Amino acid sequence: MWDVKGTPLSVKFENWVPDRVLYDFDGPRIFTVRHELGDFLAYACDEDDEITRYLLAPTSGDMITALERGTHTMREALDQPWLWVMDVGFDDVPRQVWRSTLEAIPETRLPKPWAMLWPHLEPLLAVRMVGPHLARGQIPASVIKRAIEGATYALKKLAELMLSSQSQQPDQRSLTLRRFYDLPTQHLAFNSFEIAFRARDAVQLRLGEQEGVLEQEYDEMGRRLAEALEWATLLASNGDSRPIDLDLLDALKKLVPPQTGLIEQVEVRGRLLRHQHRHTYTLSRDATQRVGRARTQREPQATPLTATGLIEEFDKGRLTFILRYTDKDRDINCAITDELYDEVMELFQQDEVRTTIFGLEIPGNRFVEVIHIARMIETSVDKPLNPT
Amino acid sequence: MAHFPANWPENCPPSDAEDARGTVYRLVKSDPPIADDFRSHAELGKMLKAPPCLRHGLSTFRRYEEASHQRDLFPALGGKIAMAELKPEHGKTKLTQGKQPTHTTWWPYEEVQRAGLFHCLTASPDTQNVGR
Repeated sequence: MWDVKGTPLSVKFENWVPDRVLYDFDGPRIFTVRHELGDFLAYACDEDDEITRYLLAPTSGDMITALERGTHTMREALDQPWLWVMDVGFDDVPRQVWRSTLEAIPETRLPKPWAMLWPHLEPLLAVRMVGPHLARGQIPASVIKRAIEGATYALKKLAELMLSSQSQQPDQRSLTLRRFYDLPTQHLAFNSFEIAFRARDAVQLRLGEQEGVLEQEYDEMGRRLAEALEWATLLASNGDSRPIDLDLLDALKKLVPPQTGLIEQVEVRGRLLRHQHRHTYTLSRDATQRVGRARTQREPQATPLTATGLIEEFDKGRLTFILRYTDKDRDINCAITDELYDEVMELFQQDEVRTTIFGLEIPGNRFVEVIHIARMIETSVDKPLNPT
Repeated sequence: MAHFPANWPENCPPSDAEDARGTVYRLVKSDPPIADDFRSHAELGKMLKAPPCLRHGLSTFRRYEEASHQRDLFPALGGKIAMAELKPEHGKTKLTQGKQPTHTTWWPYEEVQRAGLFHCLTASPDTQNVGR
C-alpha cells in the first residue's frame, strides 16, 4: 500500500457506518457517512490484504444531488478544501486517519476527472479544449465558443447523416434534427476547458417512448463520429490515404483545434462512442492539417452568390427558406446557421420586404449556404413616384 | 458432478439463482487474467459483516459499458476489462442490481478454473476487436 502524504490525526472516527450507499460493488464503495464530526462522502480508493483505504471529503445534500444528477463528477465531489484518508480493517474498525489533500493522492487511486457516479450519467458527448495556458480564470470566450461550435456543428452533421439514412418524412426530420445537436449542457469543467452535453430523452425527441429506438439513433451517430475521428487521428506517416465521406469531413471542420491560438488539442469522448473501438480521441493540429488538406482537395469549389428577393417558406426546424421573385429570375433554396435565425425571421415576418443574401453555391448541394443577409435598401430609383 | 464448496452457508447460492449463462465482464489487474483476479471476499477474508452468501460470489457486469465506467471510477480495481461466456457447468448467477443495472453475482462451482474462462478486451466487444 502506498504511503499517505498527510498529517496523521488522533481522531478515532469510531461508530462510523455508511448512511446512503451510492455505489455498491463487492460491498459499498461510494457512500455518505453521517457522523458527529460532520457529513462525509466516502470513496474506496484502494485495498490490500488487510485494509480498505477510503477518502473522506466533507459534503452536503446539494453536492450529493449534483453527483446523482451528473452535474458534478466524482472527482469534483472529492475536491473539497480538506480531505481525510482513512484505513479501515476488514472488521470495519478504522486504524488510522490522515489529513491530506486531493493533490497528494496518487492519480492512479483517484476517479478519472470525467467519471460520473453512475454509467447512465456519462455525457453523450464531451469535448475538452487542451492547451498549456488554458486554466481556470484564464479561459477566453473564444475558446468556449469554439468548444460549443465544434461539438454542436459535428453533432448536427452527424444527425443529418443519420436522419437522411432513415425513411422519415421531411416534416419529421425538421422536428428532430435540432434536437439532436442543440443538447442540454450537462457539465462545465476547467480542466483545461471542457463542456459536456447530455442526451435529450426519447419523449423530448418525439421518437416515441422506446428507449431502444433512441439508442439506435445515437449509436449510428457514434459509429459515424468514430469513423471520422479514426480517420483524423491516423498517423500521417503511415501512408494511409483512405478517403473520407465529405459529410464526415464537414463534421470534423470545427472540431479540430485551430492551427494557432491557445487550443492545441481537442479531446472527444462520451457515450456516443460507447460501442466504438476507442472511447476517447485526441485531435491534434496534425489532424487539423489533415482535415484542411482533404477539404482543399475534395470539397467542391464554392461559387459566391449575391441575390435579392422575398423570403418565403421559412422552415424553422431545418433552417432553410426559399428566396423567390429574385433578381436572378429563379427561386433559390437557402440554408442558414443558427446565428442568422433572428434576422431571417424578422425579414420573413414582414410582407414584401426584399432581402439580399450573400452566400456560397456548392456543386451538388441544392441549398445556397447563406453567410450574410440584409434588408435591401431602397434607393430613390426604386421608390415609386410620389403622386401629386 | 460439479458442486459448490462444502463450507459455504446453507442455501448458497440462493434458490432463485440461475444456471450461469451468457457474457459477463469483470475488471482485472493481469492480462491474461490470473486466479488472484477472481478471489471472492470470503476467500480474501474481506467484508466480514456483508451477507454471507454474497461474500462467496464474484461481482460481474452483463454490459461492457458498466465495466468501462467502473474502470474510470475506480482505477485501483484494475485497468483491464475481461470477458467470459458462462455456461451452466460454470456455476450459478443472479442479477443483483443496485445502481448498476446489470450487476450480476456469479457463484462458480468449486472445480471451475475461473481465470481460464476470461480473456482481456482491447476495446468494446461491439467493435469485434478482441485481443486474447
